[in-house]
Amino acid sequence: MFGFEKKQNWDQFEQEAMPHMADVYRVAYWLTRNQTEAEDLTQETFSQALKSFHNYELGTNCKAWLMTIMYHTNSKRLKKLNRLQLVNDTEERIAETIAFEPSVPQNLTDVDVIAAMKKVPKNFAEVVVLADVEGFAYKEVSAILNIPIGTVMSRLSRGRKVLRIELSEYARNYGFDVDQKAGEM
Amino acid sequence: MNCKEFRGIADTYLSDELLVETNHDVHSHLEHCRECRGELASRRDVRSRLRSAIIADEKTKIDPMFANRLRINLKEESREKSFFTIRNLGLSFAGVAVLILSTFAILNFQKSGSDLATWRKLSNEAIVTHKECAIEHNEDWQTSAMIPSSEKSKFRDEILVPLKVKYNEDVDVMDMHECEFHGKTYKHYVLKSGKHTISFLRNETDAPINTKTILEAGKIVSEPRGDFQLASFAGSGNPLFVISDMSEAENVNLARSIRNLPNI
Repeated sequence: MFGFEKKQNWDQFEQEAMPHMADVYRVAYWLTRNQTEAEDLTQETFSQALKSFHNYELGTNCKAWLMTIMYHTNSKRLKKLNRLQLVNDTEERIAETIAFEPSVPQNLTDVDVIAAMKKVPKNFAEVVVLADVEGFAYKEVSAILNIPIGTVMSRLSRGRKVLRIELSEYARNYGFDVDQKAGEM
Repeated sequence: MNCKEFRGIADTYLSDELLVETNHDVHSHLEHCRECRGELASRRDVRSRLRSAIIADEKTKIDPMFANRLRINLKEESREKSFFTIRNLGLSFAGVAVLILSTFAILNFQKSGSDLATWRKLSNEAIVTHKECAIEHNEDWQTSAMIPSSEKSKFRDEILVPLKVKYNEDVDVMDMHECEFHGKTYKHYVLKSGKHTISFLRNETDAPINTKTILEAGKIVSEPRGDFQLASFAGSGNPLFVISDMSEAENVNLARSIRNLPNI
């Protein structure tokens, strides 16, 4: 009987959780910016998820559940490594004082987009990745990161703004025409 | 709604997170403002390009070998978990078990570190032994002693015969010997299955490792080592190693077959 339960548990886990492994790894990479650390984090996340799978409600958003475990696991890892970063006020202030909102030209490559994204402060980048790349709703991002929804919205707004500024910088370096609109936001 | 207000909420509009009333205001504004329609298109484009660039980025793609290895390990973890049993036996029993395990863990805390290091060292030596004995020196075994014929018969009866049944007779013994590396003596059984060379190694000369401090009973640890796959698990005392040039899944499967035999 126990064997049957175990098999069923694995079958459900394989069906519900395993298809999201590539997504979890992708977000883990953006979180750690390092392939080995991203693999470690993915492994720890899935191992923890397997242990806690009896708490998962079938039919709910498994990807969001896995991401929540991943962020929790990552916080624990960072605490252990003494690398836990609190919100960086300086970065927040820089984002607040952005004066121009240039439009973004079409001619940029994927490499430019990735490089620009890497320049977005990590606190903002993580919400941008979760909302704009992985497609989570603001409420889900709030639950995953365990932060208020208002904080999600303000970080998203700032992160997207910084990204647009960085993209326009790349465009300017290529000599593309970048239209600057002062004080529009 | 003016242009400044629209630009303040344009991204939230794109994310479909605005209230219905605000959505109406946005639509009304966009109907007569060409510039904001352009701005909206630009932001939609940035979002779409960000998504496609990140998904296409090779660095953010999971290594298929890692994914496969993780899947095998998780499946193994799932099989060996005894959570269901513990849950069904009730919390009081679990409490007692935790108490016993904690005491055990404290008593063995210092020993576990050295056990783990010994396990790793033995894994490394097992790989070398496999390479030197089974692969490099196929015709010239570095044999330190012969295995007594009674043990050979035991191996044939208890391990080889069941494996032959499982693998449709496609398993043969190439050699059984004791070999020595870095002062460690292994019982080394070299098997052939198809084009694959397989080593089954058991180190019995050292003091037994307290495997419970390293692995849950019966759990298999699998890891690629160069051109070989190494799967190890706790036998009745010391760790056992299955090394081959098969795929990781095949090697783990073989290790599982050996582990499940009654007298391992």
